[in-house]
Amino acid sequence: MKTHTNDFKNEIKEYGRQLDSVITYEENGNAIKLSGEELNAIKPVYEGNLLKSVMKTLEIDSNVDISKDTIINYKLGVKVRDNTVLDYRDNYDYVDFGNYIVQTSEKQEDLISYKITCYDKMLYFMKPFQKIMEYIETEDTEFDENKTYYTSPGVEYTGATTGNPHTLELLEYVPVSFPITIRDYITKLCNFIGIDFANESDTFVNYNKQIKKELYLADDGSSLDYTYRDVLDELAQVTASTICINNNDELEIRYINETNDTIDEEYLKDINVNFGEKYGPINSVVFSRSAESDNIYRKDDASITLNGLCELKISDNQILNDDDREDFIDGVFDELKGLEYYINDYTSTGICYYELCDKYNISIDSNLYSCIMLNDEVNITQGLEELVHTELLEQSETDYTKADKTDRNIYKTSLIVDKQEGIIQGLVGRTETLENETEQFIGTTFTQTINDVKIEVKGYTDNKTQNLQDQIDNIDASETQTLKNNLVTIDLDGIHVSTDTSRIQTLIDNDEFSITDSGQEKLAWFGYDEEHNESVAQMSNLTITKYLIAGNHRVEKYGDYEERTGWFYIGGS
Amino acid sequence: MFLNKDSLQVKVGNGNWIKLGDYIVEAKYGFNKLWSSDSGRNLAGVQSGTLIGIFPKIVCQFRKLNQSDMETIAPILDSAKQKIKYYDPKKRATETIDTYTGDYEYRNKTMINNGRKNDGFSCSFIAIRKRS
Repeated sequence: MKTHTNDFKNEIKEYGRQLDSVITYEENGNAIKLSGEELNAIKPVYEGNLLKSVMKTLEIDSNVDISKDTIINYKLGVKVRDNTVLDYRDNYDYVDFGNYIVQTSEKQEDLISYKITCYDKMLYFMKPFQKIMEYIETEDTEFDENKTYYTSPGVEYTGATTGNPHTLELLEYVPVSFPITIRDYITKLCNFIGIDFANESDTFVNYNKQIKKELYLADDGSSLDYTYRDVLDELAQVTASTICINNNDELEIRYINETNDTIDEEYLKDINVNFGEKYGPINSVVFSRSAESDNIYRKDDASITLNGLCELKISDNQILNDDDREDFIDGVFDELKGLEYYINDYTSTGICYYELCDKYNISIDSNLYSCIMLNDEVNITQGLEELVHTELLEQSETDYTKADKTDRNIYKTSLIVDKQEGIIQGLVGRTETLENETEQFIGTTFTQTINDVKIEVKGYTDNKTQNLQDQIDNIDASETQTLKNNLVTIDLDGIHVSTDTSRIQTLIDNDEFSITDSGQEKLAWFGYDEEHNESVAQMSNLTITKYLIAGNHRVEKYGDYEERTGWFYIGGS
Repeated sequence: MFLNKDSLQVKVGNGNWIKLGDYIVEAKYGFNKLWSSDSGRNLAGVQSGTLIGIFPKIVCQFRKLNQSDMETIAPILDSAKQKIKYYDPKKRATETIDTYTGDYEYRNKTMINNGRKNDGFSCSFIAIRKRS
């Protein structure tokens, strides 16, 4: 929950509450404070969900312009009477809506005011992903003239280049090295972006699991069109959290916060109060690779029997694309297992003190609805209205007969899409332990790249399988016109039919049809005779078993029993 | 509250404070509530709403004024904005507020000369801002 007083909580629902809005910022070294007289309307908004990164927005209608990139703070106050002091005046208690960066300011000429749009520091992550760099102490014992050294982050070393840079505690600016733990990766990402990481010393789901290599750039370092925000979305899935910016402007791995707070009808308007179906309890988590294929899962069968399947599927996550993904699934399942809440959509007279991911209860009549604050819009004008809704997580239903709990089952079946290297690799087989206790993969794989498709049979030793491998090896996918096996070769030269022991060889192409013997002598040849400019048929050792027609005559065996040959005129001029 | 002759004063811009007590026979102090459009009943049926603020309104009943008095008071009433200093019993202090005035009109039944006076009239001073 946002830090608030009991007076705030009580007064905000009271008839006759009085509000105050305060925006503070620095401009040219001067502290500026805008209050109700300068501010016409304020609207803090965020649209979040579990397993996502969330950016908060603040829309301001102000009589005063605020420069782009100015960092502002917004507080909403409710007038309360402070009974602890003998002060006949009233006081305001405030809740802090956090800091925002002014992104745009548009003058509304008709109203002579400014429409200012601001975002929290998640805005810094809305940039194309580039290699994450870090400053590390150099190991060099001599200066390398090709390197730039730093005395502190961002401060280039300009001193003498003699001596030992290591003993001078100089720094180098180098790409982050892999493998790296999830926690270190987020820490270094935050350092690179220029923001603090609130959980850099905390344990959270999968914090110590490793990312083995650069996942968000191609092997040559070129972009794969990811933004840093996309990476945070994937990290939110891996850590089973919601990633946001907290009020200290730190990146935070946030989990559902059970507030045990209950609000009642007095906080709700008498319009638009909808509490729909109950989501959960989550009793299955599925990791899926590209095209939602190749699933591994963890599920709670007892809960499924009792409540029905409520599955959460995480698909196409680069961190969960490798063979070690089952190392991650237990942490995610344990965190999300049993989570349930009511889908809701309601308009409030104003609550304002719940934070993103706060779990709270709403009591209406005798019903108690457990809700999670994930989407919030507070419209603050002369009055106050708060619109809250929570939607379903994306539903899925996996065919568990085609999925497994592990990638290391007896039959290993996987389809890995490696976007960094531009490879799709499919694999079906099993792992056997050899006598020397090493493991050997037996099965088939195919590897598809932009230039090539390679199919391999691995581990088999019998001749039949070897023969299959030989045939596969001879498939040259870079020239898709080619097909070859022991008998037939189809390539750009035509269709060849023969084996090593064939007495004859056959060739069909677009110019000829020929049959030759093993000595390459033409037994039959059909083609175009360039010398005579006509198509011809040539044969050697031709035997006619019935008759031969040439021009107007036919030659054939004469009679059934006589060993004679007849030459007959069969017509024509 | 009108406690003494200094309890209600008015000025325009950087001008001098004028004691209204010299010109009026009655002051009516109003503290008007302005409600936001979000006011209504909540789901529990309880009236709910935001009080934008309380805006003081002081209605002065001027006595019959002669030409000289009127020439002093009229520029003040005709100004778009005035400052009023009054004693606020809630705050137990003299408050200074920015005000605007309502319409006013005075009647002449005869020529205003030789010490003759206008009829008395009233005019409101209304706070621009809510009472802090």
